[in-house]
Amino acid sequence: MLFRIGNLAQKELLQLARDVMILILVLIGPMLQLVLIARATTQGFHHQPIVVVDQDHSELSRDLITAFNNTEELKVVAYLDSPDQIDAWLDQTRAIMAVTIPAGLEADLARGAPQIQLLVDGTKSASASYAIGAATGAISSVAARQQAAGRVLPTIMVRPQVRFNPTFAFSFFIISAQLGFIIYQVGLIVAALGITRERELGTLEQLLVTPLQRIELIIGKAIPAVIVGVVNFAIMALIVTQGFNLPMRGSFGLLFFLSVLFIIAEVGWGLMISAFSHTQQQAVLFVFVLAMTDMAFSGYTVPVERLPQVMQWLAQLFPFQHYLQILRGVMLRGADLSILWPQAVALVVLAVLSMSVALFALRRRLD
Amino acid sequence: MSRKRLFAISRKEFQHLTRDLRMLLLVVVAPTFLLMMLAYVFAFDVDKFSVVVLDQDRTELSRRYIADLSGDGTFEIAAYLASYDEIEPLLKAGRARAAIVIPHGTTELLQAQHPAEVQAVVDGVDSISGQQVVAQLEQRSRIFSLKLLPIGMRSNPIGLIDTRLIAWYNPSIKSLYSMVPGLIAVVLIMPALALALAFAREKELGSFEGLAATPIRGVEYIFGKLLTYLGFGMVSMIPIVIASLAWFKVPLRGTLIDLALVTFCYFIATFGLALLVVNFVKSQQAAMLFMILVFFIPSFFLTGLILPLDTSSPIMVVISGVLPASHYVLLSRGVFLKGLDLAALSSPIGMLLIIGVVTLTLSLAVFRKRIS
Repeated sequence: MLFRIGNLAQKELLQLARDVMILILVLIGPMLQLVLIARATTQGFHHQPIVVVDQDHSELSRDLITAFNNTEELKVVAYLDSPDQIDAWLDQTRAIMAVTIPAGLEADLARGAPQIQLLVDGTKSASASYAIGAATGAISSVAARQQAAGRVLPTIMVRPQVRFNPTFAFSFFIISAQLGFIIYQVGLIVAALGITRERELGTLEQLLVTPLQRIELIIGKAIPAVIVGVVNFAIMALIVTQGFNLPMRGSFGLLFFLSVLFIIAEVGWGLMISAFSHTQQQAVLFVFVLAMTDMAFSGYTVPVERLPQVMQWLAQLFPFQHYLQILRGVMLRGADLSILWPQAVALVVLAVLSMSVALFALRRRLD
Repeated sequence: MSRKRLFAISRKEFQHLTRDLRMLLLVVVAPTFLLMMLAYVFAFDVDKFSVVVLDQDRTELSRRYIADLSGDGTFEIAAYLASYDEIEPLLKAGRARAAIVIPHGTTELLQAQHPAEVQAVVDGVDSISGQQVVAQLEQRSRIFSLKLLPIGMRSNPIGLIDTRLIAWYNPSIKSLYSMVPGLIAVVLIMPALALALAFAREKELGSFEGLAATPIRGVEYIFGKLLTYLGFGMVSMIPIVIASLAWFKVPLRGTLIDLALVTFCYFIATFGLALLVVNFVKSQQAAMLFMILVFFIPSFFLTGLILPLDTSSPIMVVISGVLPASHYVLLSRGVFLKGLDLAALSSPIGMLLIIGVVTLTLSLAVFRKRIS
């Protein structure tokens, strides 16, 4: 039995390796993509273009402009003479925000609280939030410096101590998620199309008349998908930690072991898809829909706790959600099994479950 | 190019699609489904954060402060801790975004008219939530502190500059309003994916050779298929628009006709690129991987959908320029939220048409050689 499974797995791997295009896509594609995305996210929300209408022309207004430029997030790209010109800049998305410093700001400061107007382009909500945050921060720090020196007030100040990612690098957050997502996509596609392809090309019947048993066929098909996933994981973990300086604070061995579990669970989902689809085209589109659903439930960008309650329960059924917690936990937070055991157990359960359902469904379809 | 043969091909494609209910659903309805899912994935709005509290001060004031923070539900207090050591494992497990520590003597300091510090131990991994937690906490604490000032000083918080925030096109900066029109660009890649698969499928199954033996010419073959998928693509836009307007309540400030026109241009560009790609692959598996890895996922990050466009290196500028989604994100947000007309959007429209014409011409050139 082992011999026959091994033969089939070898055939599958040969088939993958023979098609150069596939090989490139399966191995180099994910890397290239990860590098591109990592690069793009490292840039993050930095140096967003803003324009300034300075009607005050005072020392204070110049201080403010310097303070804007000194933030990581903002870069003053133009000085406008009148607020009427703002329209064109925001309409054509040449600037994310326009700051209007009214005449008499410096004089007003002595008397009361003068007002500075921030006009942002709300169509890009994430960029806008960062820009607003940076601008208000800069303004209040300038204002604080202007405060009468030596006056102490009973205020509660917040001293943030940021763990695991002190600079709030967006790249840490996205790259870790993307690492999981790419491994998952590639493994899922290879698994979902493996059997569907044979069926569509008519070679499945030939396989069925060989001494190969149903269960051996399925396992033989699952193995290459798992191998592709694991190889991808190893390569990309290397790139991420060496090339993009993401830390590996926990044990790599633990992460590797749990990643294999995750890949098995996902390959189970992939095989289920191949049981339900008649053509590769269908399988592909199913993969697509499944992948997006999985992503929505995973906490990829928005923590699961912010989803509606029903969705939080559903999220437990998707392996990616558990894996993402493991991935971020081990890599970035240095968590070990004593902390991550609930996720590990969930992965084991889901792997066993998805594989059994896939085996059952496929065996019925094959007979 | 004969019109009869062109329509024969597109009728054949039409039947392929319509006789298979699953396929039809996937082409027409799946983009809308994806949009609904993805809209929630990328809803960055501040809703609530789960935090834990370590109150070492244990006074009436510290309790009031905590109650003030959690009052409107923004900070959901998951647990009250007894010691500092409990923080680390909770953060490691991702069970709380932050731990708020109110040290001994905070109240005494405040009562002595001195500033006092509370500590926020924040999980930096989720960088967006983390920053929001800090910002919210700082703002809430400032407001709370103002209430502690003697009445006479409250109205004039010495030398503070007030900011008046106006957000154009999306006054409350709801991320759904911003993300839904942007995400349409991503989900509308699905028709191009289906088209790519249809081509790869004929190659893989060998029925392509049968077609090559008929009098059908390359142009007719390509445009025949294109026509059908263009039709289904435009149909798939209908539920998308309905979902955007009725479910997500995104305002449509431009006209539907403009939206249809820019979407049409987007399909031309994505179909052109998909065709070009498909010329070089032999199997559906490869076509799928290509579309996902080269098109779909980069469209999230390299097109200005979430992050601002990276203009720091020429390579990134070229990559985002070539991805049709970069231009469609501008167009869709322009029509939906900004209510711009076609004249104001001429440059992204022009880019889409250039991409479309160049890729279609190229793929025709490559294709003709192969069919002969």
